[in-house]
Amino acid sequence: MPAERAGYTVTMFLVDVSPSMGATRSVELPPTPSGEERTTEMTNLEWALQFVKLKIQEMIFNGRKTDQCGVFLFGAEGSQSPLSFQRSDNRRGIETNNVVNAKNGGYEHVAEYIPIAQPNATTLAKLDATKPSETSGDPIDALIVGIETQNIYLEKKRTWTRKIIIVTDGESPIEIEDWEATVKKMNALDISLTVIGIDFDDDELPFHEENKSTIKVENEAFYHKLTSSLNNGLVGTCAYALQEIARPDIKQTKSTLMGTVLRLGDVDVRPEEAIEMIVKVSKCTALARPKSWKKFGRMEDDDEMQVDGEAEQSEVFVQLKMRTEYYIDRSTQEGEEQDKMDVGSDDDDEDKDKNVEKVEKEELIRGFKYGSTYAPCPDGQFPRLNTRKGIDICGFFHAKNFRRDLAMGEVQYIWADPGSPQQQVALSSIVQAMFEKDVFAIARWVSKDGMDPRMGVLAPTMFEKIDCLLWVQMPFADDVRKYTFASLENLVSKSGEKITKHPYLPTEEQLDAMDKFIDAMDLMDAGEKDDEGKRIPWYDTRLSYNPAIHRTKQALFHSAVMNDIESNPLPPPHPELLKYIEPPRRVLKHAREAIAECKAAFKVKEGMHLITNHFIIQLTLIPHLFSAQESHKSSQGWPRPRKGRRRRHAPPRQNALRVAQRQRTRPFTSSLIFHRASTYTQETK
Amino acid sequence: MHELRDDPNYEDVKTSHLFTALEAAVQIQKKKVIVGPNDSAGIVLFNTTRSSEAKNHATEIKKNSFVFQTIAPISAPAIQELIQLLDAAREDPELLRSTFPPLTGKKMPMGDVFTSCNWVLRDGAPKTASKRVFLITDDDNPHPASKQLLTSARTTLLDLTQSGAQVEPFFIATPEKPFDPSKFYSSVLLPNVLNGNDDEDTGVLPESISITRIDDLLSQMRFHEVPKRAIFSIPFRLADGLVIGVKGYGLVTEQKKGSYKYFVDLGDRMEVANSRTVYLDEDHQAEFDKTKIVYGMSLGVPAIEDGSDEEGEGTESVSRTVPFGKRPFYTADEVRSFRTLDLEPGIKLLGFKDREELVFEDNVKHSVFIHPDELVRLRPILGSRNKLSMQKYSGSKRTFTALLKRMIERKKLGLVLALTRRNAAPIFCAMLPQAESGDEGEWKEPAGFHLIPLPFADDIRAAPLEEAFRAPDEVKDAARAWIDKLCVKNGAYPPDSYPNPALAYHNAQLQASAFREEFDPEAFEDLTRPKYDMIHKRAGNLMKEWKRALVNDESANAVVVTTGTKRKADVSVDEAEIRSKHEAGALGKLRVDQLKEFLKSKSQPVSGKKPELIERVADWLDSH
Repeated sequence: MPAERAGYTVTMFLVDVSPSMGATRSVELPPTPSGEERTTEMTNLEWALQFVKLKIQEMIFNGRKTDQCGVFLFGAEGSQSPLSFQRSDNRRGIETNNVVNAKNGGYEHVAEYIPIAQPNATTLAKLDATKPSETSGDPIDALIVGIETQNIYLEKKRTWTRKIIIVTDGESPIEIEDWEATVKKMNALDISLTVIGIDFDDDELPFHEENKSTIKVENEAFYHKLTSSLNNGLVGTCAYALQEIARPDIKQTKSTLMGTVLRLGDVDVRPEEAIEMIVKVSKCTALARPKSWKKFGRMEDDDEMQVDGEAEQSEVFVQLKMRTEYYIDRSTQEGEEQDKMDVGSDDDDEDKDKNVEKVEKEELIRGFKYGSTYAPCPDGQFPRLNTRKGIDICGFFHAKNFRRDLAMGEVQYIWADPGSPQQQVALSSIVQAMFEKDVFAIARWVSKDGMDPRMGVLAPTMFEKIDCLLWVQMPFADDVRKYTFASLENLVSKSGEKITKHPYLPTEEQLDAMDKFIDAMDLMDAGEKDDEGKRIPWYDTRLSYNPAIHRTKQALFHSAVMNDIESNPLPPPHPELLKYIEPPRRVLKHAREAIAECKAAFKVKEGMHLITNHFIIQLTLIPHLFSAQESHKSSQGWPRPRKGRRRRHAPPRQNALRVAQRQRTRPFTSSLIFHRASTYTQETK
Repeated sequence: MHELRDDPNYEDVKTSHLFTALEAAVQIQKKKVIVGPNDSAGIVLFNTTRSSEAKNHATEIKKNSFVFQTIAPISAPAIQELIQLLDAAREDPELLRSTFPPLTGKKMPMGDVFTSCNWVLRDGAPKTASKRVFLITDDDNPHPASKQLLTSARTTLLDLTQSGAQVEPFFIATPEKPFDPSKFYSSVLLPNVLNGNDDEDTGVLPESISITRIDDLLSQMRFHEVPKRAIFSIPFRLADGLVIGVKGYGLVTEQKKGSYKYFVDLGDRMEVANSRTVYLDEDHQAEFDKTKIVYGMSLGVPAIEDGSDEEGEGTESVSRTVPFGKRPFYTADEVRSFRTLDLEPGIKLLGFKDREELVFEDNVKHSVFIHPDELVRLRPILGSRNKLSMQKYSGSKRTFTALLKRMIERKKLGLVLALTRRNAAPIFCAMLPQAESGDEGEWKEPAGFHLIPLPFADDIRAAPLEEAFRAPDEVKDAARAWIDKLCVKNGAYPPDSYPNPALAYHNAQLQASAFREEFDPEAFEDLTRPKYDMIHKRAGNLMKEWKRALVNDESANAVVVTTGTKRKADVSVDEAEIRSKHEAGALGKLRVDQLKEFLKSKSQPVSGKKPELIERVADWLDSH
C-alpha cells in the first residue's frame, strides 16, 4: 500500500447538538501552582468540541491547502443563532440545511454548518458559537448527508482521502434500518469513520459509565457494530481521544530527491578515465524547529476604531507587524567607538533618541567594513567563485580515523539514479568496495553552478536491498578554532618539574570510584526487553521527541482553542516528551552506592551560593495515560503511535558483530509499540 | 598591541626577527579586519632609541620605547603603510635598523615597557573593550642580577592586568639561543593571566606562555589571536549532589562571509546606518511597547470566502476578540518556559553507552567542547543585568579528569541532556571523550569532552528509496582496485589543508576594494579542488578498467519496470535513440515530455521552451 500522503484529505465533522449535549460536566484542570486541584464546568458539547477544534487546529497549523474540512450539526433546528456570526443572508439560524434534504426530503435537523474548505481562525470561532439545541437529530441521517456532500465535493478529486468523524453522546434515537447499505457505500468510497462518544465505555482506559441509559447502551452497541463492519471504522470515548491528541506526533516530511553528479577525476580533460555518475541526494537528518510565535498586542481601551456600536466590553488583540528602521548617529564624530558600543547593545533606548537621525532605506548604499575603511559593494556580495555543480571525490581514508566531533551539519543520503540500473550497479560497487575496505571518502560538494563549495565526508551505507552513501559536512581550516587549553594532567611547577600530586589531579582512589560510577550508570542494558527478553540500550533517537517543538505546539493549540489561559491553563506535557529527561530509575537505584562513593571521594565543594534542584520539572501524571494496551486502538482519524519511524534496514552483508550492534541500536518496529506503552508504566511507578 | 624587541644580532640573514614580527603583525591585522572590523590595533617597539614624535601628544611614554602605530581602528591605509615599509626592508635589510635604531649597551627596564603599554592602552582604547598585549621577545633574561627591576616589572605588569589588559607572551627561541622562561619571566608573569579573579597561587606555570621558533611565530600568533571565548559556563550534574563546573567552547563553527552593512553618504565620509526593529500595529501605525507583546498562534489565512466580511471589521489586520479581562495569549516568560520545560541551564548526565552507539548518521549540527572550570558564572534570573553571580565548584578539575580518563580507557561515551543557555531548548548530546595529544611546542588537541547534539525523532527523515540493483563481486573488486590506490595511509580528513575558497575569494576582493587595487580572479587558487593529476596518475587505468567491467555487467543493462498507478504517456526514451536522433539532427521530432525526462535523468534543468530543451539536450550529448 502506498504511504498515506499528507494533505489531500476532506474530513467531515458531524457534531451532535441534541439537547442532551447541553448536560454539564466537571473537567479536571492542571493543579494551581500551589498544588490545589482545580476543576471547571462545561457542557458535553463544549468538551467534545475541544477534540474537533484541536483536529482543525492541526490542519491550520500544517497550513496545507489540500487538508480541508466541513462541519455538519445534527439535532439542529431554527432556534440557534450564533451571535458573532450573524450574516446578512438568510442563514440567520442553523436550520435544516443540506443538499440531500433539499433534493429528497427526509433528512431533517441536519445542517451544513461550515462548508468544506481549508479551515482558519474563523472556523474555530464559528465552532465556539454552537449551542445545544432543543431537537434531537439522527446521526445516520447526518452520516448519509455527510457522505453525499463529501462525494459531491470530491467528484473531480478522486484520489483524495475521505474521513468522517461523528461526535455524539449517543443519547438520541437512531433509525437503524438500511445501515448496511450505508456501510456498503462507505466501503465503496473508502471512507474512514471515527465515532467519538461522550462517556462511552472503554475497557482499556478503563472507563464505565454508571447508570447508563438504555438508549445509550443500545446506541453504543450499534456504533460498535457499524464501525466493525466498515473497512476503516473505530469507536472511541472522548476522554481517550482528547488525551491521545496531545501525544507528540511527527510531521512527516518527504525529502525530495535532488539530482546532481558524482565525479572522480577530470571529466573534461581525461574523460576516458574519469568517472561521472548521475546521483540523487535527499536529506537524512534535518533540524526541525519549534513553530514560531506570532506577536500580538492588546488594543488600548480608548480606542477610536471601536465603532462597532457594541456596548459590551471586550479585548481586542491585534497581530503586530515587524518593521526595520535605519538611523545614523551624526553628533558623535570623535568618540565614535564608544558610542557604537552603546548602540550595539540594544538594552536601553534611553539615550538613543538624542542624536539619532532616521534615514530611509532607499538612500542607503550596501557595502562592507574593512576596519574603519568602507568597501562599497552595491550587489551585497562580490562576484562568486566560479564553481561547477556536483560532488567531487578527492580521496579516501580509513574510517577509524574519522573525527566524529568535526562533523558539522545535517546528513544527506546519496542514491544512484533510480531510473538507471547501470548507475545503480556503479554506485553499489563503490559503496561495497568502500565498506569492505572500511574507508570513507573526502569530497567537495557544490550544490548548484556558482554556489560556494563545501567539504565533507562520504560514508558507505548498506541497507537491506539498496546501497548508498551518506554525506556530512566537515570544517574548512577557517572553521576550526584552535584554542589553547591548560593541560589537565601534565601540570608543571614553576621550577619546571612535573607535578604528580595536586588538588587538580585525581588520585587512584578517586579513579576507582569513578570506575564504579561508570559501571553503575551504564545504559547498554537499561532499556526495555526485546522480543527475546534481552534488554536493549536505553534511549533511542527515533523515539526521542523534541520537547521544545511539541510543548510549543501544544501551547499554540491550547491558546488557539481556549479563550482565556488564566482560567484554563495549559495541561502538563505528554509523558512521552519527558521519558528521557531523567536517567532510568532502575539504573539510579543500582547506582546509589557508587554515587555516594564518588561524592565522598571527590568532595566537590560548592561555593557561597548553593545551587540545588536543577532540572526539576513539575510533572502531573494522569493515571489513565498509561494504559498498556493502547496500541490496539488504531484508525485513520485517530492519533496513534506511528509505526516505523524510519526505514533503516539492517545491512545484510556486514560482519555479524556489526549487524548485532546495529540491531540493538535500532530495534525493529514490531517491538516498538510495546516498548513505548510500557515506558509509561515504568514512569508512573 | 604588538610589542617588539629589536634584535640586530640576526640581521645578516636579510630578515630580522623584527621583520618577521612586523610581518606577523600585518597578517594578524589583515585577519582581524575581516573577523572583527570594529577592533583596534597598535604597535609599540621597545629598546629603541627612536623617540616618540610630537604628534603623539596625548601619550607620553617611557624613554626608549616608540609608538609605531597608535591604537586606532584598523584601516586599510595603516596596513598599507606597514606593508610598504616591510617591502622596502626586504630590499634593504638595514632599513629597519636605521628606522628603529636599537638601544645599545643597556636595556630598558621591563617594568617601563609594561607601564608604556598601560599608558598607550589607557589613552587609545575604549574602557569597555577587551584589551590584549602580545609581547614578543627573544631575550629570556633582560635583567640579570637585578632583583629590583624584576620586582618592578612584576608590579607594573600587575597594574597592566588590573586595568583589564591581558598579556600573551611569545618567546622566540633559536637553536643557538634557547629561551628559558624560568630565568626571568616565570616569576614576573602572573599565574593564570586569563582568570583575573582566580588569584590564588596554584603553583603551576602559566598556561599562556608559548615558546616558539621564529618560523612558527605567525601561526602561533594566529592561535592566540582568536580570543578564547567560552560560549557558556554552566554546572554539569553527574548525579544528585555531584555537580561540577564546566565551560563550553565552539571549536568547530562555520566561519561565514559576514553580511553587508548599509552606509549613508555624508559627503565627506561614509557612515554605517544602524538598524532597529520595531513592532507596529497596522491600524495605528504606532510603535508597540516591546514588554507588552503577547504571543500566540497565527490566526490562519484571513478567510477569503464569505466568513470574514462581516460588518464592523473593515480593517486588514488580523485580530482576535475575547470578553473583557480574558487573555488568550502567552507572555514572553511563558513562551520561554514551553521551550525550556522550566529547566535551568546546565548539563545533566543520563548514563553511559558504548562508543559504537554513536553512528555516523546521528548528526544535525556542530559539536561543542567542554573543559572543566572551578568557577561558574551564573546570571541571576531577575535583577541587574550586569552583575554576574559566581558559583564555585572546587574539585571540578579532578572529577572531570577522572571521568575523562576512565571513559577513554573503557571506550564509553556519555549521554547527557544539555540546556546551554537560558533561552535555548534542551537537547540530548553524546559526550565524546578526547585525550590530549600533539607534540611539544605545537598546538595540542586539548583534553575534554565533545558534546555532539543528537537528532530528535522529529529531525530524522526516512530513506526515500528501498531497492536498487546491486553490484556483483567482479564490479566491486574493480572499484576496490582504484579505491586502494587513492586511499591515504593513516590519513584522516585534514581540515587544515582546506581553507574555505569562497570565503578567501570574498576576502581577497574585499581587501582589493579597500586598498583600491585591481582584483585578479586568475591569481586565485582554490585549494579544495581535487588533485586531478595525482588521481589519474595513480588510478586512471584502474578506473578505466572498472568502467569496462560495469558495461559488461548483465544487471547493469537490465530494464527498469516502472511501476506507476497513473497512466502516463510513455516517456522512456533510450539514450542511444536520442543520440542517434541528435546525430541525424532530428531532436525536434521528440516530444517535450521526452526531452524533459531525458534532461531530468541527467540532472539538468528542465525549464524553458522546446527549443531551449533541444539545445540543452544537444549540449549534453556533445559534451558526453
